[in-house]
Amino acid sequence: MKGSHLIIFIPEIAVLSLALLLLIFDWVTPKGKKVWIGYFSAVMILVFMGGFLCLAKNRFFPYAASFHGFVFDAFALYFKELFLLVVFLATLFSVNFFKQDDEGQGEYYALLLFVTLGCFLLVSSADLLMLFLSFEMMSIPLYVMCAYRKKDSKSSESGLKYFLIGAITSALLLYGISLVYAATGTTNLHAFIEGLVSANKLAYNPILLLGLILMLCAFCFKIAAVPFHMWAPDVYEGAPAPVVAFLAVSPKIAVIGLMTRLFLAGMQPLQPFWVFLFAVLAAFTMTVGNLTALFQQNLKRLLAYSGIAQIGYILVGFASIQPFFKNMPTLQLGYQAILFYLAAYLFSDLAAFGIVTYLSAHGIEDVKSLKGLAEKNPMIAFLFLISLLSLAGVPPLVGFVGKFYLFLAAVSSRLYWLALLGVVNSVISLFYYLRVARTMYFEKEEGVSIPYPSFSMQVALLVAVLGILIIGIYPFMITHFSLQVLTPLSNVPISHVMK
Amino acid sequence: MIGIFHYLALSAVLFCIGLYGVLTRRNGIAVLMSIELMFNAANINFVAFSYYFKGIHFISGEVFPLFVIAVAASEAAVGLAIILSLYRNKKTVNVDEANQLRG
Amino acid sequence: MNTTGYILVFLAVGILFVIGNYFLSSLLRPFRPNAKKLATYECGEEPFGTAWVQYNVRYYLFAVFFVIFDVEALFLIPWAVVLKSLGAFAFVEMLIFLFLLFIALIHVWKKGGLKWV
Repeated sequence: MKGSHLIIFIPEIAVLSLALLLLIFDWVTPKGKKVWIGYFSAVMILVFMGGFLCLAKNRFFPYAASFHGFVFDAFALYFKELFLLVVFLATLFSVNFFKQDDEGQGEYYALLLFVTLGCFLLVSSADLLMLFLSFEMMSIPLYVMCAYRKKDSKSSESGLKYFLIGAITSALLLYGISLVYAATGTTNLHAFIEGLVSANKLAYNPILLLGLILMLCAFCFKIAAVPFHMWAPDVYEGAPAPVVAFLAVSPKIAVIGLMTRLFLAGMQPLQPFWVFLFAVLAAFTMTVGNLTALFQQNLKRLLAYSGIAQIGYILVGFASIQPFFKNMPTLQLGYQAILFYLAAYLFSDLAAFGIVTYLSAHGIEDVKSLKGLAEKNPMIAFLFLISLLSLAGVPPLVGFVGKFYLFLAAVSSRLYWLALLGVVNSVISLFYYLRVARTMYFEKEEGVSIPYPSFSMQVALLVAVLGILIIGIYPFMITHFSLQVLTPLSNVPISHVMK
Repeated sequence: MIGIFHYLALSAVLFCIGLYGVLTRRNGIAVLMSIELMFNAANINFVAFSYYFKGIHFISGEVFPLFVIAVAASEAAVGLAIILSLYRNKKTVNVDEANQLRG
Repeated sequence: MNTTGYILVFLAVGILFVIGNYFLSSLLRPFRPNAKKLATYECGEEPFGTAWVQYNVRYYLFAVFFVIFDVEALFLIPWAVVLKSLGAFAFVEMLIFLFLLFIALIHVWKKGGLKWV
């Protein structure tokens, strides 16, 4: 029965149906009332989050199943919950941001969900065709969202830049896939992995290597790792703030998730190549991101470079997979740290971008204009301080725990220089985060106070900051889960390697 | 006799022409066309190799280009729309005249 | 001779046929040019300006819609060819696909994209 496979598509079907429903609501809602579409979307996303968790607990539900290039497993479910959280917060950020220019609101929330659907499919894909299609599904709505302010030439320009970079990325990915197909004769990831493992000489096929490198370049473009990061600050500066909040988190998490699946499960035979590659990428990405962030005046650009540096820390995890002792199962330590850091990055970055969204709605986009914010609006200043400190990695916040795990993984795979560089980078990053804090707290300026954030923004900021604090103090709820999630993923190919 | 490596070379040349076009053309529409070239280079690979393999997985090589054409069309549509909206704001379709965002 | 050979011969004959006919007619026809006759043929309209004009933006909009909705045929035709062997499930799948496109079409219509402003 083909129809019975439909059950593993429930998360995707739910999100798609909600997106279509929002479009239909958009047709029938009168002009002034479109804010409610956003609230409805946020509530439904919350319902989905709970529902998917119950689904995972349901014993009739296949916990790991696959269907023609689509896998459903605990790993995918972990990421799907993360994406739902991101889209929930992004929706709440947007509700009052777009009120001023009340055009196509329902459309906007539907676009958010379409991107989320693309991310869902990306972390579940087990076939190169599925991978490519979901990659596009994730990217194309984002181009539109960057250019969403039709009358603002900066927004159009940001959209154009993101589109051009994105199109080149897709072309690189596609050409890489075609070369991989040419070298292996299959697009199915499992068959491809088996081929890699069983025939070691295939691994050194130049066509295959070129294809894999092109695919890796495409991934690096999407996550803005260093030689391919130049687009990020420009796009972030021009695009509407809530879009940036979404753009800076969801696609990056999705691509990192996909890379985890690929490298943990599949690339064991090629390991000597990519461990060094990732170490170098991580070193450059951290350092360039942090050093450039020191000189930024615009808040969005600052967070863009800070985001690049965060991706650099995550790449440390990809490099740290060699066990310290031969028989110690530390193989997953790096990946566990990645999974944890993604959650940490999600909460910290979204909290920071939420406040930037709120400030940007009131015309504040520069570090300079933050002067005296602590007096005018102490609560906002305090929340911003917490999110920035978490990004910098100050205990007891979640960013600290995440970095601790990552550098621990690096040390345990004897990458001492990388761990040291990471610590040095964290210290450098403190400079620019604290510069923002100093402007808020110690530079006085008389001026009109900014109105208090709206209800939706308050809820969103509360969720994000509570996430930073609670997971920072009790990190075990996520580390425990991430181990469970990763174990089945790595089992199959490792046994192959040992044969 | 035309072998599989001729196709590989053809697609590589096409891909490089497309990449060159993307990097050097100023007109946004021309850049869009260059990107289409890059997509089609990959399509040539897929079709050529699906014919070459004729094995168990050859079908994915034949199906892939269909999806790529659809994706390329939707990407071109979105790209055109964004270029149009830039034109309405700045009266230009030249990529390098879109330079408001600089650090 | 293989299939490619036939196609080459067909191409060659086709091209030669056209060139030959042009040559023949130039031998037979009278040759008395004047300004009216040499003007560009525009279906009876008076030609003005150059052919390189900038098209109205509206055409691009419709071209975009056309491209999007045109591509569905790409999936419909292979589906139609093998529908019998795939059975009811494939039929329902395609209906869902068409339903999604239908929603998109209504969205375009509701947003005023189909109006010629």
